[in-house]
Amino acid sequence: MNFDVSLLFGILPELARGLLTTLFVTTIAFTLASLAGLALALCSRSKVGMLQRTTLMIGSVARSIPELVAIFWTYYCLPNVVGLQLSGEVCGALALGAIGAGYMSEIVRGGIMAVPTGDWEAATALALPRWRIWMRIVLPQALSRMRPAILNYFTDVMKNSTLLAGIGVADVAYAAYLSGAQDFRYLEPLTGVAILFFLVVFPLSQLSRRLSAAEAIVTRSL
Amino acid sequence: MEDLAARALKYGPALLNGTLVTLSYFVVGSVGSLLLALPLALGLRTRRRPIRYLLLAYVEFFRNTPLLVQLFWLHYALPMITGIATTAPETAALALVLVMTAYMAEVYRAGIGSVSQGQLEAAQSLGLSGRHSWALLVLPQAFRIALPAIGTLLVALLKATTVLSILSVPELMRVTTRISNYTARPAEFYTMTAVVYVLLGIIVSRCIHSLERYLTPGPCK
Amino acid sequence: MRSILIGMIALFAVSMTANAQEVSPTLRAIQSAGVLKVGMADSIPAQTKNPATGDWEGFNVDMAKNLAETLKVKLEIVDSTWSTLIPELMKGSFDIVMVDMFRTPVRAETVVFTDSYMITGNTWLVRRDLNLSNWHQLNDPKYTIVTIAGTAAVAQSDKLLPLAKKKALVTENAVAPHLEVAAGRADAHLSDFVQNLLFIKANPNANVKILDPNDPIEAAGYSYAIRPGDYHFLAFLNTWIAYNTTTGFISERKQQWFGGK
Repeated sequence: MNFDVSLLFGILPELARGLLTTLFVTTIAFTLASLAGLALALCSRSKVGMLQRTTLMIGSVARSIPELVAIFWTYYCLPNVVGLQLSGEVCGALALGAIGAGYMSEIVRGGIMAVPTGDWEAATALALPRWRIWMRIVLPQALSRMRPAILNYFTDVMKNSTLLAGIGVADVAYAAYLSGAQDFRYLEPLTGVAILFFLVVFPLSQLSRRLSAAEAIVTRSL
Repeated sequence: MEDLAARALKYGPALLNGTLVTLSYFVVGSVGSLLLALPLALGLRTRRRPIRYLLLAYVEFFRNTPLLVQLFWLHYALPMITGIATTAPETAALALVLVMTAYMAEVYRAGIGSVSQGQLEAAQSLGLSGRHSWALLVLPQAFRIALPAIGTLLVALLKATTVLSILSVPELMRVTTRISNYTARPAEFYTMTAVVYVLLGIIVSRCIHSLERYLTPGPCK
Repeated sequence: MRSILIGMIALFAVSMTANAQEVSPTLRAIQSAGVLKVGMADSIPAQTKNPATGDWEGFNVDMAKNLAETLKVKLEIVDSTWSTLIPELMKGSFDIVMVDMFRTPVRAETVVFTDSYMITGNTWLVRRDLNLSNWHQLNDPKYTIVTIAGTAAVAQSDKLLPLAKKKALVTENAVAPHLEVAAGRADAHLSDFVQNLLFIKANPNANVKILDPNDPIEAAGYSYAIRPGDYHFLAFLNTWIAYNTTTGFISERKQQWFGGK
């Protein structure tokens, strides 16, 4: 069986259309994950032992659930629980967002903890108000530490969004499988998926590398 | 309720087998990548451009494409190009090791990079050779710093084994799908499977946490 | 006299080699290895691997056993998924794909199909709260028909209900469309009668019912697939299918697995 290059080029337009849906759902899921993750991370720093432990446990469980299972659950069981009819895109975004919250909370936690305690202490000694400590000193440093991990995780969410094809979301993987189911040639459409993914993800990861390298130079020279 | 217990009993062995297969791929993937990522991470830091670019290309390919596509490629396209045909279990193991090594190497790199330059200089001034200071100083610390990220990767590996079902590897997800098709009862079996994965994931995380605590220098040391 | 004898021996030798060149290489390989490798993927009730016992069972399993017996070799069923059946066939992991696969021209560009071996009855699974007297009423844009991509039901749904909305799922989960209907996300699904019954039996509270169970829609065109190139093997298989049709083996097996109509 030979690789049919003309088939590959023929499906790329369909795949690209699916890619738009992929990017849309990924962005929504990632936003949900970031907001929820931020909340979890802040709660995990609470002095209240119960809250801290519960939050950490929630994060741990969220990270351990396989994405496929979570997607399946939100699609088939959540509507019965909530009583609403939810589309595949919404369910997918919710499922990936919930799991993502677990990962983002770890990333945010790591970022905040990487800010040297000396900075915290100095800022408190200078009697800066808490919100200013956060906004001007802690978060900017934390964000720059978190950036590679955040970009990484965004690409992970994008890769996981290919699982949504199974619940009818017309994303790039769906377009590939549909084509494959009709003529039995799966290699060409899936290669197209890989190419499109690469085209989107590679520039992002290169950007991340460049920014980190630039920062390393800056901090080294301090 | 008795029906549920009866079904659980009837399909329990199959689910257990599936779990064992999942675990065996987990072990192969984690051991393989933990070992191979070190030379890869060191190779990525080399000054020789051709090697570094080649290794970078490998890392970028495996990090920027979905695992499903990688599996299909290794199983169907590789034989076309190189003439080496692998069986489904071989392809699955190979794909897992290749992708996990790519991710693990980046984690190792970050760990190595965060061991401060000052320590290396101090070691040199104390007369430790380059190789010694690496082995005794940098690598152990880098490993400890990288442990949380390694833990996250291992849990991700556990979940990634579910993708292997496309090649008919009889791991837990495939067994569950098959049972749910056969009995037309998806909710029960997918719930059971979800619980198993969560438990396994928590066990892995806990082990890594314990390892972290064990390796962190405390007041007694 | 001697030259005639030599001539006859030579003719005989040539005819032997000529025959040897014409025998199907696939058949020769199967018979010398002593095993027939058949690729299958789950689809109730045509063929499915019982997860509790690990044995394959179904209409096509019986057919596969019959084929192996005919060739006097052992049967080995290779487990596969729907998306990898054909790639594995082309790769040589097995000699023939025996599943309830619908043959279409576009697929025939990649594989060679045997003659159709069976016609089955598909019925409509619809939402229980829908008040319909017959399935023709579904031919309306306000209804959504759900199918699994690549199945015969897709072509049939398109042909029978051109006006209704269509939704195709890509999944190995055979009951995903049934779940869609049960959840109210779709209104109808055309599927094998036995599979619909099985779903209702397993989920008695689901919001589904079978419409016109006594009036199934004929689904024809299920065929077995082999690699292109070996036309003797194809001719052999078609003869075997025709023979089993004539002797009633196929209709008897169909009665057992798919139920009478």
